[in-house]
Amino acid sequence: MGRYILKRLLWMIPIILGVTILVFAMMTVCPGDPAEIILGSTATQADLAAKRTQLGLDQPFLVRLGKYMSDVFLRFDLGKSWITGVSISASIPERMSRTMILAIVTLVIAFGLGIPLGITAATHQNKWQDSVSMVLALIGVAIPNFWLALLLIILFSVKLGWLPAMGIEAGLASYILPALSNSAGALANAARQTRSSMLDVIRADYITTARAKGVPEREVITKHALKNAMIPIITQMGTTFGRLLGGAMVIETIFSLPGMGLYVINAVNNRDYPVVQGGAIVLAIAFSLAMLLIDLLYAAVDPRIKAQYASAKKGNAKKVKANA
Amino acid sequence: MLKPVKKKSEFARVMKQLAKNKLAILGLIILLAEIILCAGAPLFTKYGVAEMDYMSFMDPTPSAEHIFGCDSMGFDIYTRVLYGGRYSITIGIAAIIISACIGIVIGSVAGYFGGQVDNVIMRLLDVIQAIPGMLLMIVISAMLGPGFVNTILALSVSSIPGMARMLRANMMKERGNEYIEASQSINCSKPRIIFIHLLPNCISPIIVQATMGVAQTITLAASLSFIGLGVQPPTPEWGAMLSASRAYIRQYPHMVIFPGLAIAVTVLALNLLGDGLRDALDPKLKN
Amino acid sequence: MPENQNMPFLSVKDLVTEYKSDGKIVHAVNGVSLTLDRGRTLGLVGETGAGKTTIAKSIMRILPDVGSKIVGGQVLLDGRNLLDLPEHEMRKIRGNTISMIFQDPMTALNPVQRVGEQIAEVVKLHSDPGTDCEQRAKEMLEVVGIPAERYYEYPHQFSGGMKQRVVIAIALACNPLLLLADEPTTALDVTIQAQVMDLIVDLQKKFQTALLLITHDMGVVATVCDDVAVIYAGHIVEFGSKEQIFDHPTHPYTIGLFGAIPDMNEDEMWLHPIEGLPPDPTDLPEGCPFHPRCKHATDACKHGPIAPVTTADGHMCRCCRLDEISKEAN
Repeated sequence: MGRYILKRLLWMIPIILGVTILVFAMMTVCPGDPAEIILGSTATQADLAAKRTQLGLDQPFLVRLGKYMSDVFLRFDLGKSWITGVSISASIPERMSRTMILAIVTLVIAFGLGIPLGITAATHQNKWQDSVSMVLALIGVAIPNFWLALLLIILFSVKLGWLPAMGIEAGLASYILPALSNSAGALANAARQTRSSMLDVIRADYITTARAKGVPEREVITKHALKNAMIPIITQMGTTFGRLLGGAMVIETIFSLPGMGLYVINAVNNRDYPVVQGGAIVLAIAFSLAMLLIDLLYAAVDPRIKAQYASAKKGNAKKVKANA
Repeated sequence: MLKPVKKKSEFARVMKQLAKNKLAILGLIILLAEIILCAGAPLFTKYGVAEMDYMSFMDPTPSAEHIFGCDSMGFDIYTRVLYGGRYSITIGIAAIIISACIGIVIGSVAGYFGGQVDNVIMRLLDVIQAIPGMLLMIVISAMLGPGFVNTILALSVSSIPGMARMLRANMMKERGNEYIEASQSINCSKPRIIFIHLLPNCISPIIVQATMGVAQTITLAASLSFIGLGVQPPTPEWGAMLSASRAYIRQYPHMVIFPGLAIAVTVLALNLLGDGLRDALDPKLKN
Repeated sequence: MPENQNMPFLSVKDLVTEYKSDGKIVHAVNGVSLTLDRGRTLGLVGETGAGKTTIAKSIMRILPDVGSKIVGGQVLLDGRNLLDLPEHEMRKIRGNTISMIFQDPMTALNPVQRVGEQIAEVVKLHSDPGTDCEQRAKEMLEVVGIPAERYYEYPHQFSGGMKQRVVIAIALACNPLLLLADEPTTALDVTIQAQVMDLIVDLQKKFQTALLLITHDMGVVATVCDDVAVIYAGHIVEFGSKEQIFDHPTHPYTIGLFGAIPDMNEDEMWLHPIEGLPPDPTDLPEGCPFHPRCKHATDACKHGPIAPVTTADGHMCRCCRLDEISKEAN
């Protein structure tokens, strides 16, 4: 198992290098002169030329890329913001933690409610509980999260005045509306996924075996059926989490929640490209780690997958021996 | 000669199955109605898309004159929702068609050839997919600049990997079948084997994915416009309309309600249709 | 029928079970009555789809709840009607007093639970608090011939035959008084079939268990069973001791069943399969359900329920042309 994790972590290296190259290249072809962006439109030609030399923009693309990559991966320095001059590596942890709080709260709401809803629908297939849950889920999937955010602001901030509509001054309460707007779609998807994979499992022979043992119905569902239905639900969690890391941008913008999303969006709007690059790399690493975590969760839930991971290791060992 | 016959009956079966699904038909009707309303927008409204009603500045809320009310510029929101649908639905469909075409080619090549070709393609897709989708779209739109066509491009690029992966998986499953060996034995060219023989047999999940994808893309396009990177106001794209009205949310909530409702209804209809198609294409999935 | 004046241990009376499928009602079990005493073995034989498994699941009340229900009848266990018990009472009986061995060992075990825990679970549900369930589960593994240290393994690490042994261990862990075995050997290799069957019979002898054995293997019936019930389209068409059924089959369907078995003592060129197919359980023929396939059928067979005829020594047959057929046979 440890070797599997190590292998996966090693695999992340080329991926992250690839992401860095890709994003760096895209930023390079973006319109606009960085020197002018930094110094403003009033700067003289001489100043601009000096700035370009200072930024190394007069050097060829590959040289700049090489320098950027050595800065990032050897010195763990993502550079400085062109606009504020603040170190990017120093700004990210605080912002990342806010985005993570938002993602985790959203995930907890979505799956904490979505899974029971899906189970209810599956265990009452074709009854009213099923129809009501699935209609709710369809609506949840259809409502765009940013529109829901606006509606929630109208209701809870403007009309009722219960919750703050922006900022993070109110502590965890500030995260309630953003998380709620983010979780509707995720909750709906979680419920639909849970329902369909529970329906697959619920008629399996081993469920009948459990009933024949005298296991109470509640436990049949939670202990025997749910654990077997978990794999697709975990996959869904992974995709949702990935979407939350990226999609947080819109929600963070609406609620002026200073997380990674707002950081990157502001950078894009201000053409602050080092921030965009740094943000993209950090988000990609977070995303890849999350995917690894999902794979480990699979193994925790299903011993067959765990055995596969272990045997993949053995298979490789054999291959190595054969090559030698 | 057997294959076309089979394909036809398969199509007929799917349509029959689909016709039995009331929700899917409801989705289809809503969609068709929307497309007719949006395409023939001038026939269904008495206002022009950029026609200001100066009287509405006093009270832009919905009235008999303006059933959805007016926006901050004095434009009739109902009219703009209709015209906006042209943009939103076009973006959704165009982006998915582009990404499906490219994704199909990439996925077919990877899936059919396997080996090193597959390896290289998959690693590239890994890299693209390691960047969260919304971020990728934002970076691409930053690169291309805002606007209608660029939004379509940004959206299509980010949904290519998903399509390609799905097709590749099906291709690999289908490749082992004997009719492929048969077509190789009669010396069919590789493109012919891939596109004439293999593709029709692995396309169904792509159709479902595309239907759902249009819904997702409409939402994504709207979010992109909403944060100012997609279609720009005063173009009446639904997301752009929401973005422009956001500042008036406290006084005039109706300005944000109707464009959002339009998105929600469209996405709902597409999902109903997509669910129905999935059940019809794969009876195994239906319980 | 048993002649003792005491009440039989298990007595099923007029059991009727239906389920809905695609809007149609499937008549799976149609008025089945049978009795079984402790230490005895009753074989339920019949074709696939005749309703054998549904009878067993009805007795345990573990029918899949989507659309299936027991419409009428009684299942008396020691005089108590199981069909009237509330669910929580029934739960105490399942896995404890009555347990079941399932047909397909490959799918009968929970793939994400350790095999030992699957055995320990049933022990835990039905024993006094403080019982060492793990110890008991390990004992059971040894009983069915699996080393106790494999307690911690998962089903995917076991072969089909080993899985079936685990299923048997689960079924027998609480020393049930009634064991329902649903084709316990069908899914296994021929070489292992006999071993598994011997195991079940040994354990039955040891604990004086009543065994209801569902099978379509007449060879197994001949070696294991005391009594035999022949099921056709959810009806018991013939019931009697093994000797009665094997030596003097009277119902045309039973006779047909034996015709479909190769006889080792005679040099036969052809087997004699029963012509036609079992009836559609959503649309059973009126009268005797076998009449469309029966070469002795007359108009009388096509109307009304067929009354069972029981001889003095308890051989029951549900056929209205019984006399003519037995004359013909003699």
